[in-house]
Amino acid sequence: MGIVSIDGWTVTQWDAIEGFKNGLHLFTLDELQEVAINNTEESQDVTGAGGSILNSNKRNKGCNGTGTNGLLSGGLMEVQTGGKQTTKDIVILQKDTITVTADMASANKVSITKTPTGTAGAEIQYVYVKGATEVVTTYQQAVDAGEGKFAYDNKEITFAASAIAEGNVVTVYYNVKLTDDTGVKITNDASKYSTECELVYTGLAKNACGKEACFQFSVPRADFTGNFNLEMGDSQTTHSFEWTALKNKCSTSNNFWDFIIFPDED
Amino acid sequence: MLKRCGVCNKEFEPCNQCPSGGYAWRKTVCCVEHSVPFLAILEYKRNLKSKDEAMEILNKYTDIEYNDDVKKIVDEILFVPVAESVESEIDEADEPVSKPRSRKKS
Repeated sequence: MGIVSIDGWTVTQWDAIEGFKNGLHLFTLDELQEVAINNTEESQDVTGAGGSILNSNKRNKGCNGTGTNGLLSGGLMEVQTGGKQTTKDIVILQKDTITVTADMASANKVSITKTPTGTAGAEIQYVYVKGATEVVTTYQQAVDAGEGKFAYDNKEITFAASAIAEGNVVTVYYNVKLTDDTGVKITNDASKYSTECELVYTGLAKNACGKEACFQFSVPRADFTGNFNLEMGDSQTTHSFEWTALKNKCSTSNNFWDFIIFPDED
Repeated sequence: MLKRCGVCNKEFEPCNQCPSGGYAWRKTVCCVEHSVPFLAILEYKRNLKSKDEAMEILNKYTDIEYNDDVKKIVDEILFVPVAESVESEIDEADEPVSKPRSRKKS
């Protein structure tokens, strides 16, 4: 049986939001926690004698959407920041905390866990040594170890004689380059801005007689803003978003959106 | 926090935001000119450059007043046993002694 009217239907489930750019799939948000689609229009009264309303001028029609996905979406972040995800040339910060053993103290050396990347001679830059009195001494990287200086080579940090003692805690921060395709990065470039894409909301609807059907809510031009929050509180970090529908001038229909209910059958 | 140049005694404000590509010298030395001898000294210390290779570079920078952190290494690079340079003039039984080679100014 076909569906010939929206009357009597209610949306019972928002399944997902799919994002596309010229047919290319950008993201799927399928852990939706909050969804809102707001439609707006302003009207200005045209008044006559005694202020009686004769007519109204309507303008500023618009539509915008907001929502929250329970999981982070890289594709959505690309649209919101204008950035691109990459799995190449990723550099992360590594922190090593090393408790000095008797052997390390006698050799005046400690080993770090990974190979640092960066400017030769400044791969580590500073090292912090907490002594027995809890006083933290900062050492600066130099070509050779000396007073207040340490040398680095091949995952080994060398101090001057007697600079470190057993039980001291050495803290080292340095950058490590990940092997390609072992991590992913998205960059929020200050010179790039959020972009637009086509959105299709999908889900289920039910009518008063208990009949279920699918719905699709399509926005040909959803212009995302760069306003989104990554927050942590009582629950996990969620991914919020907001967009404004743009008039689809490229189409003859000028649609902000289409709302379709259809039976899930061949 | 000011940092002493990795080559000379001049203090400078290090910068971690140097543009990528090329050597980010502002992290280690006070001026771009000093980055060349600095790398030569560092690579010699890390056994990535031979003494002769490092010496060839340092001999082009004869007007630098090296700081105490690197002076010992610089001297090590620039000093060679006499036996090596005037081999023919020394009796085979003589002990080799050290003298500076081609360093114009320290």
